[in-house]
Amino acid sequence: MSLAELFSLLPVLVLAGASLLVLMLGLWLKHLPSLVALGVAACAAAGALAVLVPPEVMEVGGMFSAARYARFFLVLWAGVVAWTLLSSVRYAAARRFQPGEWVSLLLFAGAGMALLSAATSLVGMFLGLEAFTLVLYILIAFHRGSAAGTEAGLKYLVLGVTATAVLAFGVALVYASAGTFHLPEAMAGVAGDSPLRPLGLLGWGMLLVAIGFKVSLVPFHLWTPDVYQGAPAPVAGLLAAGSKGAMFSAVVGLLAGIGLGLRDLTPVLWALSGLSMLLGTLAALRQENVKRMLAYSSVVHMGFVLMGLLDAGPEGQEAVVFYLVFYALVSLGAFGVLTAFSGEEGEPQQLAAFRGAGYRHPFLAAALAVFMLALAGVPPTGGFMAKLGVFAAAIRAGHLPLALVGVLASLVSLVYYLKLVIAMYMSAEGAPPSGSPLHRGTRLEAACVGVCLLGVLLLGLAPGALLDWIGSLL
Amino acid sequence: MLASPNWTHLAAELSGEAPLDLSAGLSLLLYTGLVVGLVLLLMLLAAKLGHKSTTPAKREPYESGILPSGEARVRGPVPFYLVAVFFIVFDVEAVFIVSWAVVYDRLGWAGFAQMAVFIGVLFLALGYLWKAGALDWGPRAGRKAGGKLPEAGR
Repeated sequence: MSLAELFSLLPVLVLAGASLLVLMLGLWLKHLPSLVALGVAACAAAGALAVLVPPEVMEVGGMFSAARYARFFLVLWAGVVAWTLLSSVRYAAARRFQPGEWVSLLLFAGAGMALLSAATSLVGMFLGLEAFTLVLYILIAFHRGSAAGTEAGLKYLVLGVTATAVLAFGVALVYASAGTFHLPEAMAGVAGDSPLRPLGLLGWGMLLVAIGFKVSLVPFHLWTPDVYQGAPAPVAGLLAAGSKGAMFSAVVGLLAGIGLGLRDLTPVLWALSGLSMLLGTLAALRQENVKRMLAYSSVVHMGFVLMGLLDAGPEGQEAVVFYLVFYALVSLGAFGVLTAFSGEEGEPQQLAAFRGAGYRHPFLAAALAVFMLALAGVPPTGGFMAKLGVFAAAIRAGHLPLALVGVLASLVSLVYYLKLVIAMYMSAEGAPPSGSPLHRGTRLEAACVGVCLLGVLLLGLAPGALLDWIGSLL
Repeated sequence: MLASPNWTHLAAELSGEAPLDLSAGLSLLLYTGLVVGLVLLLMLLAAKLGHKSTTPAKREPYESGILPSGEARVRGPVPFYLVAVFFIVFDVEAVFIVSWAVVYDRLGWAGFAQMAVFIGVLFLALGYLWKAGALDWGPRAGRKAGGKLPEAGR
């Protein structure tokens, strides 16, 4: 690896280096806020380097791209990590998380997600994916006093390792069919005239299983509700916003090179997307637990994103990336409100705990209501534009029935999103909340939620700027 | 192996370029059905016709004719587990170092630099474990670590 290549990889190296530094520093310095400040500074530095310092070479080691697309996602993931660090200061301190390990692991997750989004080779994809999945195994079970957290961590570990094994097998089969790991050439094995096409298709099937697991598409979604419920709220936010987004940003790159091979995969993608939307919606309707509801809602949303991918043209990719940015903002915001509402112990999860919250916590509850409406896709928010984009992409690709399923799922989704809004605003004022009262949230947490709120509204009111920007990346 | 005629024929069949040989598939299907059916039938017959008797002695775990005394679960000290985990972690890293050492002359100074960084990070990890008290075990660990590293402390 030459110096020029290292220089192009600099923003990721800053994140990973800062992670090591914080880990070692955390042995002596037990003060969480200062370590968080260091972590946020590292994220800001990585983001600034990615924007301001142009890379010398466009590809590092034949594995990771340093092009604008990769840099865009690096900035996004660095922002997501910095946001998570800031919004969880009180949460982490109240639960006595080891300060050094907490900050260091989050930074490393950011580096892994940036690598995954930048992958231009199947090996690079594997490395990036594993780098942050390993971190998530630990983070999900990070609260050692919580039995649900340990259970969630174990479930994610067992299923995740299986998915990793399938992914490795799939990568090997695709390599056998094409003779290279590099994208998009590795996709040549799926093309019609390749003698080893069955191997390539089998490999692709395995890739789809692993991808479906990581982004929780039906039928690989079974871990999602338990893990969301058990994981600490900030980690669940990172899982929803970051890990799924990073995986999909890599899938955009995978599908970009597949060309005519997409025709063979279309029925599978169609089924995965349709099933995710239908089953996710039906399961979400029955949830009384807000975190489980958000988990099933994420299954539905990943179905929407996959629908956008069926149009392999630049417009489809644009819609998908827009959706990922929107979904990152809105899920960070929703879990941020849950974090802010969390007291010394436990988190408010049952719908009943939110009763009357609209009157006692006007700002946080209003923000949560807006996030719910945005997830449902109500017009003034970014959710409407995001869904419009993927529906349009599906119709362009000639999948009108699938788009109709999506519209139906969106309509029904209003029911379960509004349940929470109704609980917050339309239950009797002053009704005694069951269990511990909601925390008021600190100013920092409110500010973090405010940033997401602003972003979600801006994406809905002025989506053009981001769409143009994304268009210039692809 | 991959280039053998059988393989290419199978590949052609699977991709739909050559007609699938249906008769071969049918006989395989029949054979599978027979085997599965026979096994199910035997299990069903054994369950329905067989004589069953349960006495308390039959439900005891068999231990060479001696009655079991006490639980089989023994509580072992956690440090053994920790040391085992550290050993495996560092042992796996040795795989990377050995694979570099095999071709160190061809990788040159760039490979040397990369391996130096890798080993440097490994030393950091070792230093971290040391400072966190994960390597102190025995009677004094409980007093000394006292919660520095949660995994090691209790």
